[in-house]
Amino acid sequence: MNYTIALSLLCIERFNGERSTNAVYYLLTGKKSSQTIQDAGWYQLRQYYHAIPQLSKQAFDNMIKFLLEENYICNQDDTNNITDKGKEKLGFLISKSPFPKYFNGWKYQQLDEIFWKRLSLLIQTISYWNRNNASFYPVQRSYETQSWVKNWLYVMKNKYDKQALTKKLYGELQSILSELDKTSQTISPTLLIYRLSSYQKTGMTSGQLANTLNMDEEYYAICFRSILHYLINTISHNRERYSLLWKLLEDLKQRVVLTQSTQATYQLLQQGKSLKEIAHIRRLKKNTIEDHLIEIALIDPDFSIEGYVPPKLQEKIIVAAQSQSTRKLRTIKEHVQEADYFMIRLVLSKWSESNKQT
Amino acid sequence: MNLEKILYEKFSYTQFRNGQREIIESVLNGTDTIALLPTGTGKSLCYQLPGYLVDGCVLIISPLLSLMQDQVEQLRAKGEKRVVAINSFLSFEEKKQVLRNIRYYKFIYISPEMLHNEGIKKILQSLTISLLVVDEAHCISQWGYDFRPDYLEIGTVRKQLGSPVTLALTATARQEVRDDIKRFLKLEMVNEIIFSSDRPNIAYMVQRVNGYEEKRTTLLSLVKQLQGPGIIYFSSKKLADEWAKLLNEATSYNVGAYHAGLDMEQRILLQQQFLFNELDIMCATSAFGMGINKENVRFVIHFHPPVDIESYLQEIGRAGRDGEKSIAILLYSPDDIHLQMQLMEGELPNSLQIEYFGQYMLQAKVTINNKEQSSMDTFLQQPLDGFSEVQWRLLRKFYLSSRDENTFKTSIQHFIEKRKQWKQIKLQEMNQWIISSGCRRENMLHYFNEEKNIDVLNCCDHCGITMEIYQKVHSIKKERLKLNWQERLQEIFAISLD
Repeated sequence: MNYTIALSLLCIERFNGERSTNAVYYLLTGKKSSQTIQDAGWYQLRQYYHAIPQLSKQAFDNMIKFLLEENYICNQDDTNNITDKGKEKLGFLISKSPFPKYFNGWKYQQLDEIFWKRLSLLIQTISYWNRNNASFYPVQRSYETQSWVKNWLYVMKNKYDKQALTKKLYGELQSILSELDKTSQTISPTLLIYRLSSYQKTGMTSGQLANTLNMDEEYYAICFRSILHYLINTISHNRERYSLLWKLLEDLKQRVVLTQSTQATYQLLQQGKSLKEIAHIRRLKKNTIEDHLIEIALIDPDFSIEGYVPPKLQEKIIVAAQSQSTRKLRTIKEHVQEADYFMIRLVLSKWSESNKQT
Repeated sequence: MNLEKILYEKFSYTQFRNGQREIIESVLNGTDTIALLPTGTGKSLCYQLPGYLVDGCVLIISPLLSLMQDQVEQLRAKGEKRVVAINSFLSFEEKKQVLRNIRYYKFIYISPEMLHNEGIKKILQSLTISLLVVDEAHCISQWGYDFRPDYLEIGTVRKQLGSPVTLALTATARQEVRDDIKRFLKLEMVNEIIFSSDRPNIAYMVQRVNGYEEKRTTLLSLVKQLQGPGIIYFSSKKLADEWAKLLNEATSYNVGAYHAGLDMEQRILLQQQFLFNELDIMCATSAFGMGINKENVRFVIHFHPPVDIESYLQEIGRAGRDGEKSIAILLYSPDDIHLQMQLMEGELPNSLQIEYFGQYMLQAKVTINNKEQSSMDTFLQQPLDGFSEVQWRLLRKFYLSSRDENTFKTSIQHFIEKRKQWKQIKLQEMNQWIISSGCRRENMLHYFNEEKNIDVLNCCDHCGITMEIYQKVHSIKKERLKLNWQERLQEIFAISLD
């Protein structure tokens, strides 16, 4: 639970009393709603988005209760904010278990999971195949992953013989992980390798490995995923060098992160329909369509908001937000009377998108 | 037709186990069959083998998703590729693809609620189904310990599929349950093949203790003495976790913890480790054991009594599948009754959960109105956090067959009340068995209207057990694991550096 505490305190600190406590939960579990996507963008918390997807609401609520009792956070205007004691605790937890630098929950949400499923099943399959044994219990059961691996092997068999393929895949993994081992002090390839199942040797579960390494289970899970993120990132940037591994990602790159409903709105928008028309066509409220636009502004760097807010007004809103150092809409509106709330949200979203560090 | 030949070619066994041949011959003769075989004696072979001797496919209705997945993987591991499971684990796209290629499959596993889907039913109607299998058929009866209302409609579906030859399988069913199976599956001329529920190679022992402390020390000393592999059943995830940790430190065994709180990947790994003897002991909740074909389990210990005799028999049946001497030990303290009551109530949805479910569906309805492409089904497929699979299925079933929210609430509450009263009786029977004098095996058999007609050496604690034969022969020192990722990576790929 320690690391959930650390990340929750971190979010609460960033939100600075401007967002509800539940917003922290939605962010850490990666809720796919326009509001949460907006929070992640506005408060520069994208890295932490979807960092603890397995966290249950009940466990979260209990933790918040604990944080209040221990006076790490305190109640302030209907929400919670961090106390000095909380800041100290946060500093301590993060210095003990630093947030892994390769981790990017926003960028690699779900991608990491699919990548791991493929990688672990592929390696298990090759490990058996290599010893002329085709009968084993697969570590991944999803139909999608199993057919993907089958197909991968089918294609590769025409290109390489068994030994060459094994050697090449080993070589790529050995090289990419050695590089990680050299550059990172905190994250060792051990965290990943011992999870793998092979010929007559079952991999460890996340719980078992965390235990063996004396790590907090949640911190372990984040470090493990940070290795996946490192791999995905490195492979995508060195496609020739890691040509076999790149095959695991090739077809995944195109996935859009917009929510389904927003995608539908975006399509209509690109056909030149106005907000009002879209609301009419989709039989949705105008508010909902506006939420979709906010989401698009947050995600698509090419999306222009000039048609909705004139550049001059955009500037005024940004200045107000900066000078007041807030994302609180009411405060900003007090300083820029001529803007409506939708305009302010749209500008803040666009602005956080262009400011984001990748 | 040489059954032994196929048994060897497809399953690598040289001979049938008790009962298997009779059941296989019965269904191959085209007779509807109810078969009662004790847990752990190879029920699935009874429909898998005939599959290779008939032209059409075998359709298997199975109540638990995890069990279904296990059985599919086991068949695949035997080299059978033409096997598939149609259940809520499949995404929309995957389901479409599977259904498009449905003719390819020999063995089709399906969960009962999928049978209600009109599209799926149509496709199934177009197939030649040579054998319809109803696994865990006792789920059809409200007199059974594990009644699943969605099983009730299988009979109708069976007719709609043209009444194919049907095999109803179960490990535990008293006469009234078997009558229900016949009635609800609409079986007329039926061959009942009943084998004794007795497993003579398992010794029964009840160890009475006073309170939790004594239970702890008893369990610890038992595990230190007993020969593994073994399973220890606990009432909660928390206990299973704590004890796995404790036993790992205090004994020379490698111990794992298995419960429904773990994600799918961890569960698969733990099952595998146990199967490969990488783990000696599993501390588990009742979520563990179904569909695990481990032959050499030497002991099953219950840290608390289960809520009915059928569950107990099923859980201890995981011991000694290889026919070797094994022991089942039940730790019992008089104050366990409170725990049993809790367990019993936890199986059914409570009023808070019903309320929450109703709210959730109300919200779902609003969303469905907004989005044309989604249907009610997507919201009902997977249980929400905090609901067990069994609870969810019940809620789903009652929700879909109710006119409105109010009828839903009243009908499910009424059902739960009735179920609780029945379970109360089952609970009393369990506890009666625990405290009764006389031979435990005989008492157990009487419960199932059977007689004990063989003498069993090391029968039960009342008849006398020589504990020595269950004790550890030699103890091994546990080695501390040294982690070296480079070496492990080489090992995985069988790469040698010279």
